[in-house]
Amino acid sequence: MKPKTILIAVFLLILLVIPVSALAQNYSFRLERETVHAFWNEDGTLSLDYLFVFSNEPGASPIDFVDVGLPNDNYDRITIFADVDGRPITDIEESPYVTYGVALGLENNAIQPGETGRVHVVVGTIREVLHPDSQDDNYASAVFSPTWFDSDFVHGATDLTVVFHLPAGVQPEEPRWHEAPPGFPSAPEAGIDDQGRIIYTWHNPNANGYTQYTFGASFPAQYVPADAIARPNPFAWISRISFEALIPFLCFGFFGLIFILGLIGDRRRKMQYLPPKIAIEGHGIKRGLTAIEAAILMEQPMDKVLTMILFSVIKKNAARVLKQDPLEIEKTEPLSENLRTYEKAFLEAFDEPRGPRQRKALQKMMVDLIRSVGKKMEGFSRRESVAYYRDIMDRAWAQVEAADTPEVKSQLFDEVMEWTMLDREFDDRAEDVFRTGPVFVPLWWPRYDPGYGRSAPSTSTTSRTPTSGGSPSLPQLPGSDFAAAVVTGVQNFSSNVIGNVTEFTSGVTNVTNPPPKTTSSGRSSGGGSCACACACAGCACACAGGGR
Amino acid sequence: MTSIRESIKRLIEPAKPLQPGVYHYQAPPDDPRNFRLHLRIESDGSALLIVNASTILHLNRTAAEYAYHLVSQTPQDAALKEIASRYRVNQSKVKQDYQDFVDRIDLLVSTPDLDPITVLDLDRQSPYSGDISAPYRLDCAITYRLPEASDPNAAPTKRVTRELTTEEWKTIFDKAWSAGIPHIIFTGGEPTLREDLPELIAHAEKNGQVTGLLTDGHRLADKIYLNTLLQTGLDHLLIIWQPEEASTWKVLENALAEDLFTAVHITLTDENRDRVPQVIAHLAKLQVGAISLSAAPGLLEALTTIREQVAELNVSLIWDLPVPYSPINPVSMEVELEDNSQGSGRAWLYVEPDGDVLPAKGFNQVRGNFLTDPWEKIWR
Repeated sequence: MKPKTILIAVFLLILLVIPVSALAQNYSFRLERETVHAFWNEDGTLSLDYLFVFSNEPGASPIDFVDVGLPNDNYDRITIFADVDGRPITDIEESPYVTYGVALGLENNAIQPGETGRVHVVVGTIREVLHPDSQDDNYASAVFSPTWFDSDFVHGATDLTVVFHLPAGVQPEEPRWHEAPPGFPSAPEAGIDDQGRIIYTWHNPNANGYTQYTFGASFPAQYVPADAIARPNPFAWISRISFEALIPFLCFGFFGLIFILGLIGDRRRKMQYLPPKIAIEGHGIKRGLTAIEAAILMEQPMDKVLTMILFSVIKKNAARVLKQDPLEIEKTEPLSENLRTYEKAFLEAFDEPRGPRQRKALQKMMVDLIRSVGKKMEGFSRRESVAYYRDIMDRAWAQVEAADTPEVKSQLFDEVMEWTMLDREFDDRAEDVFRTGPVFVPLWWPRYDPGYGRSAPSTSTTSRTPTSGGSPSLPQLPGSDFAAAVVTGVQNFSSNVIGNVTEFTSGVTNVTNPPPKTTSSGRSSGGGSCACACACAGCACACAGGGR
Repeated sequence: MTSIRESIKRLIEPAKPLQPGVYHYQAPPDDPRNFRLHLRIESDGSALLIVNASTILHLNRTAAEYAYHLVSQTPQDAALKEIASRYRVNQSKVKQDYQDFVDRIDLLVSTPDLDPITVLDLDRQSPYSGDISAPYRLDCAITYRLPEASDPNAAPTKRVTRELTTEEWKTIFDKAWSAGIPHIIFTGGEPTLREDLPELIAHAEKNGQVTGLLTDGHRLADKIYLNTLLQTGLDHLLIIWQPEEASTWKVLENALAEDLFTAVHITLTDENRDRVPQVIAHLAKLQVGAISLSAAPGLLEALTTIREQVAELNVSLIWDLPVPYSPINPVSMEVELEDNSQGSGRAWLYVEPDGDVLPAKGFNQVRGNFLTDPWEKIWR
């Protein structure tokens, strides 16, 4: 093999073995709690007891490794023990990602997405952790930073507690704490642990898991061996350079180093990209809408909405139908007090002669109704509200379908009829529900169907044999005829009152949600107009919802 | 040598999230949309984007970077290059996402009656939830004094022994701005009784904060005074409807004639409940910007009826301003317990005339003094 080929091969090999951060993984978790006890021992060593509580985000990669940073590499690997949720961790190796520290391999106990796990780590012995106090030669300084994690992976608040246990024998008036990091109380809580050692506790429930927080305390140096207090050697780093690490530089020189650093650095230093996410503050479900208002929200066709209003005023005994085809309505005087504004406007529209004026009045009523629903929805979620009312509709049908007898079924249907009409498949479903028996028509039915009881079709009313209790007979209709009668109501509206549904609707939506104007740049701007689109031609819709 | 060192440093120094801070954008006078954006970047790189001091958007880190460039008006090419250099993503993806982000914010600003969740595909977050480093608003009771004819019990004058000076209030606004609070409400007592009110409003506006005034309006009958307030840049006005004051209507007409968003607060009581529907109808006719409602206990049903009327008259409802009488408002009644997030002490803080901080008006738990205590003590 030629020397040049060898060099290229070696170069490629080195690239392959360069540790690349876990780019293929998608870590994303919360560090709910981190509690560490730092025991500054009489022999000058440091022992650590960590508890991490991780909450792994749904959709993220399992947390399969936890890298725990340590102050230096003078630790006894054999004194390190760890467990996750009480199950021992056996894979404990030098970490490839932190300068000094260990990687705990969770293996089969990896913390799965959407789950929480507690990782407990004990590091028995770390040496060369004490230094002379910068302000008093007679004091030793103990400084420690608890482990933190890459901000690409961890987010949210962390309840962080750091407890220093000072060497046995230190008297209460002797030690001094160092300035606390931002966000922590300026002075730690002082106390005595169960071994009689003085403890300093720093606590911040709103810290985070990606910041290095440094804590410190000083105590008289007499309580630890003199040689345990490390004096820094400015040339110590030289001894840690290995010959193997020098090979690439020896082989490739300065430019090779820059090239490799550039490759690694560019990937490692960049943050993980997540798609931009925007969440708007707002309430969820807007309760308390009437079925008609819910119909607006659910973008029901206008002829159906108008029919629903007709049924509503009839049920409230505020009007009756004089003629179905063409539709003529008579108000009941005096008007009922429990009428909604839109119901009053509906009845007033029928005071106008049939034709353009009546249509215009009905359009104005619809415009006002749509705007009113829009105003009520401000601050609430349209999506969640629609789901809520759809659920009401489903439960209304379920109630009716579950009824034991035709009488109960009919009575329930009378109570929830307006909610069932929210169903776009109302006619098919009503036919299904009432297929197997008669419908005992509600008391208000003759006010809707003036021909009911006068005509004598084969499906006219029949009497039931009175029970021994003497209950009166109830007028009936075959189920299919009842469903058809409701559908007929809707058709009458479109054919006889509002005419072409699409044109009628356009007259409404041109006012309530006109198409957005375009600027010269080609991008739309609203200038106060509503830019939503209704789901179907001939549908009413209200745009507003959510935010404020 | 310095540039080589810098280049090497850029190669190996990890990219970090944006530094926490507050950034502000006000549309120029000739922009018909007339909007303001406040961007507050939190310590983890996520952000709050507040549109016109009322619509609260929570942004993840990427969206926060986009918002930062939008608010800073960075030229698009430079913004895309900067973002692509900091994230593991290619420029074409950044361009697509950035344009989409800008378009959504543009539409949100341009069409306030739009349903942002359905149309703009935004997520919903419960009000006042999420990790935030500061409230959205500071309600400043600059005085507990009331006009002479008022009921002396209407303000808790005994709670404070002195009023802060003008400079002290300015210090508070500056501190609030540093903490990232973009919105200041002036309330009381009757805030127009303080002669330095225009100066205080102007100072907050100069910081970049949105300002609002809650008043019984009696001083606004003076057009010169009203004009003085308008010149300070005051953004919105809430007039407390005084049923016994005939001049309220005149005051309202004066205010509505100006380019100032004006709302009216009505507290429903047994004494006024019969008159309120008429008042609402009249306010709708005057095209008031919004109505705020609250009720004395025992009037929930009447409040619901009035709320219906407000909607039917196509008037917006507001419900979370520090009005004087009752926390019973139409929205708190409607919202289920699991969604009944409290804004007190989170979305807003209340500062008394002596600088003491309460979670909200009437919640007498002093959290500290805004003037003398560090922010970290007040916001825990």
